[in-house]
Amino acid sequence: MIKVKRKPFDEITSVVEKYNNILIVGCGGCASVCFGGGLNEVKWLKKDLENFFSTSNKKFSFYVVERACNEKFFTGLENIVAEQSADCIICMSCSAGTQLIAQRFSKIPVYPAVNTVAIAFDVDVGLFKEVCRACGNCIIGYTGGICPVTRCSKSLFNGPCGGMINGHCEIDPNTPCAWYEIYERLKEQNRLEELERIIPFIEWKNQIPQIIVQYGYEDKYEKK
Amino acid sequence: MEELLKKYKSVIKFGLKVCAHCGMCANSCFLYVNHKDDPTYTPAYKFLNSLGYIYKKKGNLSKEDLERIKELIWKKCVLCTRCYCPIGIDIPKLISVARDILRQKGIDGIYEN
Amino acid sequence: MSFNELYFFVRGPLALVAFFIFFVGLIYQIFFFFRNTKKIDQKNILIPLYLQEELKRVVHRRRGIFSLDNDFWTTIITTFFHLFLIIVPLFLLAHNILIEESWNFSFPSLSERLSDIFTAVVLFLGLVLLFRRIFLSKVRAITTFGDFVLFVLVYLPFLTGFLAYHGLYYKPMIIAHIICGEIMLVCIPFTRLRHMLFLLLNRIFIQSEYSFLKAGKRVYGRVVKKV
Repeated sequence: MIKVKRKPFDEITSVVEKYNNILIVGCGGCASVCFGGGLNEVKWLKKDLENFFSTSNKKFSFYVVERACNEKFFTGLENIVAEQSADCIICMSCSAGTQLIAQRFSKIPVYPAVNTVAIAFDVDVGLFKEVCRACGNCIIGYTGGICPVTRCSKSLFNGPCGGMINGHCEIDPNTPCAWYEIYERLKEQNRLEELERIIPFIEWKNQIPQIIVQYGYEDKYEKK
Repeated sequence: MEELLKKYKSVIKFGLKVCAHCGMCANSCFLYVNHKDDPTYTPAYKFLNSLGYIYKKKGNLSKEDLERIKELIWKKCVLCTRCYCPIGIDIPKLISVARDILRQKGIDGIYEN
Repeated sequence: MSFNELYFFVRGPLALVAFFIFFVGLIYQIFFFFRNTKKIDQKNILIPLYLQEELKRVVHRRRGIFSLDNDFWTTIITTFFHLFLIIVPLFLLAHNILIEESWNFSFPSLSERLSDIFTAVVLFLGLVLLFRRIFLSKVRAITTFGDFVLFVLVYLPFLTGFLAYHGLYYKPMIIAHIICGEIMLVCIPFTRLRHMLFLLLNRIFIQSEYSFLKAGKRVYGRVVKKV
């Protein structure tokens, strides 16, 4: 899932200074699961901000939506925004949710309180390892299930650079060499001939914002 | 379905027997906080009346039971896994096992638009 | 049966049987806990250099282990209730005299006035918890009849001991106190009251967001023996 991490506290306080009625919104999806923006984090941020701004009379309120990336879950949020008449929303969901909230409540300034870091899997409680950069061109089947775009420091697409020292990258000795791991994994599965396959380059297609239409739904959205 | 109940027997029995019915898990569920007047959002209520009920009845469930349990574990829980239990019962695991059991009976959570 | 005979029976052999069942029951629960859980295999993750620098600078206290942010008043009430519930029977002067008579050792004792105050606190907080169970809807929805039975089971030894100390019908009250205490000891490993033990075991050994210390290296599930 998408993992988020809270911004440094002084960045958030520098934003909140200008406003008097702040609503903190959390998300019960990815942000909750990675301990970045769930109910607990929203409550602690509210308490920290109240302590920091104890001399000025700012009003803080909070609400957690089920998922911030789909508008049908916004009914409760709309009621709260109307009730509290907030003049600023601090959002602790991933960037997709923050942008949808900003679009829905376009008259109120919306600020993120978290950085959307990566797509990662769980290694242990609170420890996550990034494995995907959403490049839109998934070739991990040919590399034994290991993504060279993310896990190689140089994002080499078709083979190692040759600078590996003891299984680790020459750039950072604490990063394992992705192509070394790919080699070991393919050897375990007796598929070393996949290493000779040349995969066409992405050529920066992933840097353009994409609209994604799922298979089976094309005729709903086709231009007439 | 009997294999599922048997496979997770230690977790289910532990969860049912040690739950002290204290109700402190309620304030850690953001759905309960959003609907404070409805006590059925309490995580302990959700797993005691879904998995606990299935375990006691040993899988003989009527249609109304299945509908009621489906509402509890699919509509009233999003599996955000942040439930707090002072004793340490793993409530998301129990809800997920209940979902597995219901899927084997052919019931799945339909997310309508 | 005269009072003396009954007294020496409940204070002697019956107490021994109760203690024996209590300790054997606890050991049985601990054994089954370790049998039903298994160690997770550690995966080695190296922290890259830039993150090591950041981790050294920023030190965040892990919050959420105690439920003071969840439910402030309930946490305070249950903490003091359980703290005094355990301290009073262990460090009571009257109990220590009995243990010294039987087994020639004793724990340090509190003064009688202090243990009186602590027992009164336990009785008062116990009633508060009972009212919480009856009047809060979130707790009422999950309450069963067994909860009230267990409440009476735990409340009676303290109530009878308190009344006996203050001289109300001393002779029958002391017999009732000893019998109620023995019933409570016997019921602890086999009912919901085993949370006394499992709170520590679960929060220390099982991997979760709320585990104490740096531990949490076990998961539920039996070790499957490879054939």
